Amino acid sequence: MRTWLIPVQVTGLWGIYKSGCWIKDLLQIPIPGSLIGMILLLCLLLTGIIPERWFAIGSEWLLRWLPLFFLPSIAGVLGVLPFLKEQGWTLAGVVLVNTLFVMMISSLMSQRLLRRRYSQEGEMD
Amino acid sequence: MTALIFGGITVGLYWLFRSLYHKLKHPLLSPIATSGFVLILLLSYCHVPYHTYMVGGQWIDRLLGPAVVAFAYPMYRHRRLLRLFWLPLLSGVGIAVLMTLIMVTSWAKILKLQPLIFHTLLPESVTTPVAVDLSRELGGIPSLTAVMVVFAGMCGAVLGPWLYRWLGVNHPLARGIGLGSASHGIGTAQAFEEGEVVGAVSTVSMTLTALVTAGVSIWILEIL
Repeated sequence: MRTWLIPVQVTGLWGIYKSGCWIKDLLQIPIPGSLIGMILLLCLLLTGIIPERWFAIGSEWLLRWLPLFFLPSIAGVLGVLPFLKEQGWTLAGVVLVNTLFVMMISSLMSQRLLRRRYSQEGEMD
Repeated sequence: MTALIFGGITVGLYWLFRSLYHKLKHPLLSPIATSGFVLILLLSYCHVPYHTYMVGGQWIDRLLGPAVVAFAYPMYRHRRLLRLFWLPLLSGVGIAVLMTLIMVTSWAKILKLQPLIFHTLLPESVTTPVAVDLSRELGGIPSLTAVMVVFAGMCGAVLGPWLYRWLGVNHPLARGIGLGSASHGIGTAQAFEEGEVVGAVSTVSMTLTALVTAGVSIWILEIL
């Protein structure tokens, strides 16, 4: 494995992230710079300006370890622990109900659309 | 030295619980939840203030930005999936984002939540690295958002298979869309347990959910 490529490619991806932040500041868009960077990279890949192999190993490595990178954010609740003790159960209840309801609606709706599409294609055969 | 110690503890804990998860494969043992819980316990037990921890933690935190950029790769690789199934994908994700925003807003009204909490909860269904950024953008508490997002992921990953059996959702693409748009990364890990296709669809849905929520949530705040 060409492991030395990982830091090089991650630095490149970091550069795209910084460009995203720069575009955000320049155009005053209320969307996180990281997402703008992602859209930027996707466009560069789709148009073929950047070949797929340029950041392939680096991005695979970043995504494999992704949860590790937001552990520091998780640890940040230390600062709002009293608050979490007071309202945590309410918030957890809201999140539980929302998640199940949203999953229900979105899966049922897409299943219905998929079935319709499927049966139309079946008729054409 | 402090940086090395706290950086090392974080990586070590994550590595340990990741190995455990790969052995047992239960979503309740999702490594981010278990290692996060132990990290918080450890820091509060040893009375380490957050800013001391962040001397080391910031080096790990800095990789979040480039990691979000890296999401372009799965999107690029699954572009055929997007082209073939754009209608169910976009509708499934669209309705999911809309329902999340409407429900959080309604709960905030019913339970009379402070605006700070309301803004913290809005990015609840979005993958954590983006949710943290969005929470900051909206004026919420990013770390509290992160915890709620992880909880949403676990709820979906644990209860999703039951919910699907009860509702009769058996189309693999529909299962992926539901998991990805309601419970992001942790749901996607569960989706990959069901198969490569369900996982791929879940990945694409998760990324679309992040994009659509980022585009719409700021707007919602302006309307209200």
